[in-house]
Amino acid sequence: MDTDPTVMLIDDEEMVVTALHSFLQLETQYNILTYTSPSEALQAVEDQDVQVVVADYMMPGLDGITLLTRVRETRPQASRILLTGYADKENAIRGINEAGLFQYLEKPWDNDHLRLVIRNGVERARLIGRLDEQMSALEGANQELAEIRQRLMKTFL
Amino acid sequence: MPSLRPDSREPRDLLFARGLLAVFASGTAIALHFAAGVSVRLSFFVLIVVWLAVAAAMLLRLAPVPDSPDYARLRAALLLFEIVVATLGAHLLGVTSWLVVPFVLFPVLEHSIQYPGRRGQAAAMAGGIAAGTLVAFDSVSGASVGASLAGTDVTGAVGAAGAAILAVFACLLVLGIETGVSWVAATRHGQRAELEAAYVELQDAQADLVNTAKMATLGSLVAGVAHELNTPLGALDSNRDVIERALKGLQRILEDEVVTPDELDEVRRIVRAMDGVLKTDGVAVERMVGLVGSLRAFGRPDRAEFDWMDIHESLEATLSLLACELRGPIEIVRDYGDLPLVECWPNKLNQVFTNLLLNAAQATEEGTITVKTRARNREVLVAIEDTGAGIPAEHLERIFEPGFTTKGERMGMGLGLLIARQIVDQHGGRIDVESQAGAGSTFAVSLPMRAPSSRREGAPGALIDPQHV
Repeated sequence: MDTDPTVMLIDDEEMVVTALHSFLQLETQYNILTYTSPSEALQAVEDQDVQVVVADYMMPGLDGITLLTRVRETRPQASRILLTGYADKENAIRGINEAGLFQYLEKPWDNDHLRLVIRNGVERARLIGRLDEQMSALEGANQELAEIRQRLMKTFL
Repeated sequence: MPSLRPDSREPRDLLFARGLLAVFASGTAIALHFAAGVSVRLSFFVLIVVWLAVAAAMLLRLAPVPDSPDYARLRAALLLFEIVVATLGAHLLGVTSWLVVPFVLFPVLEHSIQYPGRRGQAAAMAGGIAAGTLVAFDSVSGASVGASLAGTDVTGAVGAAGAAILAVFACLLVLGIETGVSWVAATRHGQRAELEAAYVELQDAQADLVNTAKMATLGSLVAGVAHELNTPLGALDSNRDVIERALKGLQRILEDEVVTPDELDEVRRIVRAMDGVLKTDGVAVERMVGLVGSLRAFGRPDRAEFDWMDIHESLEATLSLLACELRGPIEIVRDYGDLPLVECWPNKLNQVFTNLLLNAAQATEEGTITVKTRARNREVLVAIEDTGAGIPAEHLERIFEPGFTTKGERMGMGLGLLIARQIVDQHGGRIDVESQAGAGSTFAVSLPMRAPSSRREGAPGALIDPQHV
């Protein structure tokens, strides 16, 4: 990939997104976006490409699972991670099973583990992106081939 | 000699044996008497028996609790009665009163030893005076009052034996009555003691139950506080790690004492990260200080049990501790009026607000909980209004019943509202409920600005001692 991967952090608690941002800023080269409002985050996802979205579960207006499900509609290749308090564990498991989340992390989180999960998420998004590219290239090649075949047929018949 | 121990521990079969003995002795006395052929004396004797039977029936109906003042009075009456019967019996048979003296003096002595108070002394003195008068009279006249009254002149062995038997019989009869009275008293006392023990047990069980319910509420509260602490703690923990990494990075850069342009970029990155760390730490610490403040306001370890309280402060403390339960799709609306300080048990009122807010949160999956406060007349109103599930009409009458719950075993014990109402009752206030199934509920707590002084010592007869709720 040419540009740095984009990681989006969403939590209604500003101190959480700031702490995550500080860490990722220090330790990674990702392009980091932070949001405390789930609806603003959804708008941003539509406007720009993201590779990883990390969202809190319990947020006013829109819960994390619903938010991440909507992110999938706009950016299917983005890896979606739920960051949740221990009390929301049941919901997190439900989220992974029903909304097809990539991972869930518990608060308080371990920075190394978080970095690893995000890196894997970025890698997964990159691979899916590449797969998409290759598939469309293949499709393009296929179509080209079909056209050539048609032209050949026209020439000879 | 008749003796009655005001002691409910005396075995019942022993009492019964004493009664039987009295009946047997009476029977023997009657038989002997009849054999001696003293019909006039027998008629007096029958009179005495009837008299005793009536007295016994009356005394048995009274049957006060052993050791009570009534019991002491009864014993004093019996003692006098005993003296009169023994003395009169001996006189009727024409025997000199000297024979009666031991029968009179012994119970008098026993009574005054057992009841050293004024009443015992008075009874003993009255008995002594009665006996003394009779003995003195006999000594002076040299004749028996009873014998002259009866118009008989019985002398010799038959008269002496009859007199002795009748005197013993009288005493035994009194013993029988006393035994009966003490048996009934002991039985009644026993039943009463059993009832009292059962009542105490019931109260203990209720107190245990209330304690358990209190702990359950406290459990939700603690879980909420833990959740609330988790967020700032998570941020602080992450920041500590970031600082460590940053420090290591700076040390690495400073090792070779030459800073390359790349390393300078790295330093700039560290500075930017540190900026965020500092900002977050401040917010996190502030949040934790706030939580501790709420806990203190809620628990008030430094305040008197009965004190003036700012209702809004209490509501805010409770709301922040329950933040975890009240977050997400529930919106909290504060509709506060101007309130004066209220004289109350702050800890207990906090528990009322906790119970009502928890109920509202559990009834409301999505919607608003409005906390409304108003001052009117000499009352303060705190209403917790939710837009949740509401209470069906058939449940509305039962919600304050102990053990009534629709939350299922995991959630509740059905005591929260009962406890809330008792606490509010103790404050001289009331809880009004309005609810519509599907539309939500309003629990309105009305409190007098000053709790009635009579209640400050704790509400008498309350199911739960409010001091320990």
